[in-house]
Amino acid sequence: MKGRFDGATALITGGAGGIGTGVALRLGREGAHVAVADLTVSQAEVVAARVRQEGGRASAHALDVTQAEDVQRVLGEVECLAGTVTLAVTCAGIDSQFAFLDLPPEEWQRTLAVNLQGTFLVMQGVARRLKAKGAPGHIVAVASAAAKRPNPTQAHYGASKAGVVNLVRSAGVALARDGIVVNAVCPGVVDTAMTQAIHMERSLLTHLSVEESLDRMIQAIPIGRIETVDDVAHVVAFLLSEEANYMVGQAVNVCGGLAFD
Amino acid sequence: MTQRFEGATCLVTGGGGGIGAGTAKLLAAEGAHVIVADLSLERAREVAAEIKAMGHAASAHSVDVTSEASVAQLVDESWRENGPVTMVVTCAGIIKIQPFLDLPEADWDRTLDVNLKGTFLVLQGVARRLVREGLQGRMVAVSSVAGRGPRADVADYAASKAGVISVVRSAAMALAKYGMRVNAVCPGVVATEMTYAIQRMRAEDSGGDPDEMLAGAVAGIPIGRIETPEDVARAIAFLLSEEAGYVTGQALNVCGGLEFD
Repeated sequence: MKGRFDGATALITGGAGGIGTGVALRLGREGAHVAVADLTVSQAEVVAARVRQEGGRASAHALDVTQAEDVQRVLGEVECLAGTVTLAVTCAGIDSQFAFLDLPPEEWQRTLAVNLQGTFLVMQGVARRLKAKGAPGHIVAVASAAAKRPNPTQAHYGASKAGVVNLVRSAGVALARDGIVVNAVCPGVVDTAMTQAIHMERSLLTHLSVEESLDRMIQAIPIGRIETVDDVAHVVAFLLSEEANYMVGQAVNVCGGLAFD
Repeated sequence: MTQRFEGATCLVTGGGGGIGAGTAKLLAAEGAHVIVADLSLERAREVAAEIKAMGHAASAHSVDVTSEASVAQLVDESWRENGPVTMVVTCAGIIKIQPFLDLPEADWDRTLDVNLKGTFLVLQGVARRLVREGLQGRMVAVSSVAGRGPRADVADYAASKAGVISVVRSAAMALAKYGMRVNAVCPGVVATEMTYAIQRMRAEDSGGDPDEMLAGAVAGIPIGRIETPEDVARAIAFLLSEEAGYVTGQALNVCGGLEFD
């Protein structure tokens, strides 16, 4: 499998997070230059250093995905450093737990800005540069199984991810004839710091312990184990490869059987 | 990417048809011993001979997927000759263009028998044997974009393919605890004999030209080109591979952007 992405330049937003890190390491091992972008550049640098430690090529970039100019700046930086971004994975995302009736509008807005608008800005920025060069590319957005299920304690998160699923369809069809392949993955309960934090917050709402809250969730997964970041990264890598070139605008559930459509 | 399936035995039903033959060849090229099973032993033999001529491993069998006894015999013979069948791809399917108001009961029954019951019997037949022997397996059923949306002139076919998506979900849930994964692919307009036959039948009904009708159908595909059996086979191979280890009960649209949910 080594070398599938030899010579390619990959941008990973939210690259310092759990899934972002897994994807960065995976693409680094398979030959891509990995531009690790995150709100906190020092954390992005930690991941870039891990990629380099494994013999890969990587750079770290500070990026606020909600700011269009910031996205443009990072795309320019990466292009100067390693060439046009032909592989993009949008992992930047936030979540919080609120009872529906208590969900503050500011929280709704912030979540939609990062998860949905941020995905749009990166996707559009990457695609514009590809189109200008007449180059093909692959973009994968990280949505969530939450996009396809009710989310009583995170309605804002569910709505933002459902938006990502629809955005990917629109972008997928809009860009298909330019050879720009756009798809999404919908992970389930992934073993990351974000999931721990979700259950920490949720335990305050449900009065279950954090472990109980997470255990109940895992017991409901048909495949019977928590998802690893590698489970997600494998499918992301497939969707970034030539093997998936006839898939347009799809959101692949990688969730051990939690969600279907 | 070669030799992903070294040492595995894979059963492909409908292996004499377009998608079946394409899948059989790809899996054999990646190291699997492929059992090409088809209602027509002659077509199965042709495909197996082509695979062997390329230096890979295959054998040919006849099967009537609508008969539990025939499927059981196929499973027994496969096991006896090539050891445990740990991968299955069900491609056997039929289609006939008929206006909804004229669709005869007998044709409805025949289509549902082959496409839906046949898929069920093969999945169940192989799964029973695997569970009995304490082995794990991976299965992919070929559904269709027709299983996702309305089809005025192939109501039976569309219903059968929607049923395949459902049986795949149920089988995935039932078999997850045995470490088995079951998924489907939903191809779009694939360059196969079946597709050309559909265009001829539709042209006959409408008095149009089959080539023009096919060109019209292809123009409606967002990606702008007809699907090849290899496009489908690559997605099937991915679902059979370890890379899809956390993907189960899913129906992947591999259709150039024709369908989404």
